[in-house]
Amino acid sequence: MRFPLPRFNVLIGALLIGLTVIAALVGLFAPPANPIAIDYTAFLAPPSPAHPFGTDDFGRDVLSRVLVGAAYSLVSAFGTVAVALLMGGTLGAIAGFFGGWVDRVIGILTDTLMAFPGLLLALALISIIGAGILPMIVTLGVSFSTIYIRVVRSLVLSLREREFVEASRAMGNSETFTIFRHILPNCISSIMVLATSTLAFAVLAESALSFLGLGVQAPNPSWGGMLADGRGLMGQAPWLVIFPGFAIFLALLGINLMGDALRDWLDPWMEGEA
Amino acid sequence: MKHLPIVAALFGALAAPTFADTPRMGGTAKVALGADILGTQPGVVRESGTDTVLHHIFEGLVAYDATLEVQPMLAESWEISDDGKTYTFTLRDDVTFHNGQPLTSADVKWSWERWLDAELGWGCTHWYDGSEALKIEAIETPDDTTVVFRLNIPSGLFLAQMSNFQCLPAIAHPDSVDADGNWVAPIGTGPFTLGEWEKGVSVTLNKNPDYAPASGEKSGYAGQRIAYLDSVEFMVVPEPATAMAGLRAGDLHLMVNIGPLEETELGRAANVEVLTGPGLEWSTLLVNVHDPVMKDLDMRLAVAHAIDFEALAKATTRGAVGYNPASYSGQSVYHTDVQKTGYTRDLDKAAELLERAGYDGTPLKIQTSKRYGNMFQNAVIIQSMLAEAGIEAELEVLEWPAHLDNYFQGKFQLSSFGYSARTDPVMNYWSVVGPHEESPAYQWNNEDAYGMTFEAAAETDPAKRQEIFDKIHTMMIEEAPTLNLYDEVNAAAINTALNNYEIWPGGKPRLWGVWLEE
Amino acid sequence: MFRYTIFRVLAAFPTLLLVTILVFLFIRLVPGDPAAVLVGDIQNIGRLEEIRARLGLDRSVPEQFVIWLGNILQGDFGVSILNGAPVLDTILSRFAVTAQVIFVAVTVSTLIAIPAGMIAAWKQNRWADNLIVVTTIAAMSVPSFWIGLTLILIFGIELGWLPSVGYVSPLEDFSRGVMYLIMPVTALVMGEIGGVLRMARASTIEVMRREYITHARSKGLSEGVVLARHAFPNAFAPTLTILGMIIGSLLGGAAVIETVFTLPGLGRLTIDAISSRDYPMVQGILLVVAVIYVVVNLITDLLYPIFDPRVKL
Repeated sequence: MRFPLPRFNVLIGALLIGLTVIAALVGLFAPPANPIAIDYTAFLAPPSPAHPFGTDDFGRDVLSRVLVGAAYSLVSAFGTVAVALLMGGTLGAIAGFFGGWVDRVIGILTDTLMAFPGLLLALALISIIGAGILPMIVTLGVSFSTIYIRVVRSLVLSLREREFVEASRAMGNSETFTIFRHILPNCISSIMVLATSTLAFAVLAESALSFLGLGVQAPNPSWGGMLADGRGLMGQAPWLVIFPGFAIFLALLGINLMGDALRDWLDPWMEGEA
Repeated sequence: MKHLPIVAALFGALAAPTFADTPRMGGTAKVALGADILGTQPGVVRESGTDTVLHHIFEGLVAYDATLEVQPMLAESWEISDDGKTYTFTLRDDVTFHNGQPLTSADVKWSWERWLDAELGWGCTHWYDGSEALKIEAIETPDDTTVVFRLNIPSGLFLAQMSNFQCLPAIAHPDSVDADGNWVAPIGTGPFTLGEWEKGVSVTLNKNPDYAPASGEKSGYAGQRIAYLDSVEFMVVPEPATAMAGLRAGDLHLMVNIGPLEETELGRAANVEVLTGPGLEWSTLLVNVHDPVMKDLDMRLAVAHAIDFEALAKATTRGAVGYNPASYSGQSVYHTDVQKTGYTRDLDKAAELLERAGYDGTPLKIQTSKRYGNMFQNAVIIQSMLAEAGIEAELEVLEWPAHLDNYFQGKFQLSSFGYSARTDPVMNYWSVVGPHEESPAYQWNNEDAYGMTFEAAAETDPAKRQEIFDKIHTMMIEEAPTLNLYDEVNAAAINTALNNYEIWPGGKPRLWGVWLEE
Repeated sequence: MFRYTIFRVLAAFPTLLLVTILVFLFIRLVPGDPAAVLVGDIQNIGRLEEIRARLGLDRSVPEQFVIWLGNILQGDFGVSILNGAPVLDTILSRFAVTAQVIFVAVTVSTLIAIPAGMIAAWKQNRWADNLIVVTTIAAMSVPSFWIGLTLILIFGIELGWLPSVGYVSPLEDFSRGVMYLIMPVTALVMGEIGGVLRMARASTIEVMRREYITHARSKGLSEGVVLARHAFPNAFAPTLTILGMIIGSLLGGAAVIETVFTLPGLGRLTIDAISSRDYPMVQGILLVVAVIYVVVNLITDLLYPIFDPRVKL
């Protein structure tokens, strides 16, 4: 007999997520210093009591930027997952369950989306709605949704032939009911993994865009952007990347641990065992 | 092995003079290029890196030296007629092309006519075809070593334009093109010949063994261009952090256009040396005089008085240079006390001006981009300085092509921008002042000032030119159509295996006169 | 199966048409003008219109599209606006570089990730699993350019074992070429392994709870046999989908890795083409990338029933 939830992991996960949320709230409402205020007398100052995480190449307080960055990174990462999950999960389930021409149309759409570079989508969206968190979320969400479409579709494909699905059909349940009651819950494990991976990619996506010389990011500090901006200064100012880097690691660790726990909790197979 | 750099540094300090003065022949120097070259035809499809590479293969009749004076290159001397409209160049008689053919006046005429052919799309035809003022009416070749250019007007600019970096009127051998006039191979007279161009990876130049150097010490693009190296490999390294690592690892020997932060970072490495000096490129804050808010002179002056230009320059260049209010380099002989007069920060005055302008507190928008680091840095610092003066400003961080396009179309309110090297104040002003109907890229739509630039272009007396430039500068400060910030710093980093590398105000790297240690 | 394949190949055409139309529109929607990029830092304003006319950019967008599509159908992808190089030749030579790196990297990642993921699942919530999970999360927290730059610092500078910049094709000079590929492949493996491993772990965990595994165990089969014979084939299916996606997206260009390691691959070409508004090059690349996706997805789908016999195509 096992506990359905491995307690220690959940505890750590909850702690880390709680910390990130608190950091984001502090960053938004009571940052220790103004995260965009420049101090040209303190460029790249190492950590000190005044600036516990040091200052960046504009003399801005890194601690405050990491805190504000938490809010920005969390919103953009979860927003991305929400868009991807909603769009990808729905289309994937529909494609896998109904098959036939529905599946084909969605297949064409998926291939098109996949072949389309996220970069170009980002640039186009930004030129329409302006730089900021929204185009980033839409771009990343739409780009990532293709993975969800394909994974969910293939899961549904393999599930729809299973006994319990056929049983549900035989009992005269509607297709929609069958999808929601029997098929989607069975995909939860893979989707959870996808979602947690997507979160990780979304947090880092901005650093990749910034690295590739597409300075299309909003002016707010974000963890990914901080990592990209500090890359040439590793020798003289390692604190520019160490602190946001650790923040990303801890937040992702928390999210993953909680994700696993949530997966176990939601998984229908666990019910049977417990 | 770890202690070696220290020993080498101590030893090097004592022994360097004896080694450093003896050129060593041979070897391949590797130079980082941010992007692949665009072609091998000078001035046609180009950007800065392409210019850099092709200046090693091709030479013009004249060239700039390190003090930005025009000196002979393929021409041994020249004479200007009394009316200033006829330039007679005498060619050196010892020059051969890379294919072994001797240089003659016919090649000079052929080359110039090729560049000036409107169909070709050479970048600077507008300097010579009358669309600005100057027109070359004829190129004559009375004998093999004499070339005569006949101009429509006297010009104080002709030689400067001929020595220009972006549009070098290179003297190429006619075999560089095929029977249909298509460019096939760059056959020049320079100290290096084109070896292999592996697209997207590298361009290798090989030493020209039959090179006949001009007279005089190496200075800028002028003087002796002696290749000690067997070859130079320009390697495409798009990521600066990778190039920095390559320099430290010794896989690269030279990286140019580095910023102040990279200077500090590289300065920490024992086997890398950073060289800096004043440059000709200049940073500006463009103020769109056609914008509904910024068209108000009081508003523009309020912004000008809200900025601490000296602190801005010192902050972005880490103290290397100060404020330069003029539209041309502090290195220019025409840069005197008048050009040092600009704006001083005065927040009370700024507040007063804002009030008079009826500024309603709507945030201003500053466009910027990140391809050229200091444009972004300037914007961030200006934003914070404006905030201190009670002017809220938002940054619009664009991608470079969009930023550039907006500049050409005049679609911005404030724009943190910069101009590449121009070598005569007239050429600088021609980038700034002009009729807005012709192009919104002209920031300053002032007929008088525009007229004065043509006077200065035709004027050959330095004192009279100075007078004109002084007047233009004073007018510009009064009208504030553009707020000039500072001269950008030329900085290059070399791996210490590369010897005798020098930087110069022109900023372009030169791989002749340098050698590699074993 | 045969009919399905034919169908999929035919279905590729609407995908390709859709991609071309979208790309054509989007690249023109993004602000920035190729003519401005070409004029660059010379203030020859008169040339802007002239260049636009020469490039055919003064025509209407539908007109430009019809001309371009007509040329494509005749096999003419056009030339780069920027440097006049033929688009298709450039793409193919860049694709060859990307494909080499991707092929090796994906093979290595799969060989490590699937067994590791299965072990983690088998030892779920024990120290081996926790170690694997924490390590993959750590790897996922680091942007790939960081992994790349760190590798260069260690192997290029400190140890001096590997060249830090440049590229030599292993097809031309194998032993030298391999030296240039070690770091990019390592960086790619480190970047991609986390996703594959976590998917393999999750699907194995799911499979291990099924009745037939319990049944197999109760028959007294050893854990190794259960894993290999019963768990693996079932757990592999979703992982295969992810692998297909990774290969597809990487073949489209591993732009970041190619930038860090100065590889002349397709990803770098895409970035350069977009950021200089080289319309014919961007359009050509996207068309080729779309073809690659269609092919990779087709292969993944055809492989699917092999690993998951319940699926009928």
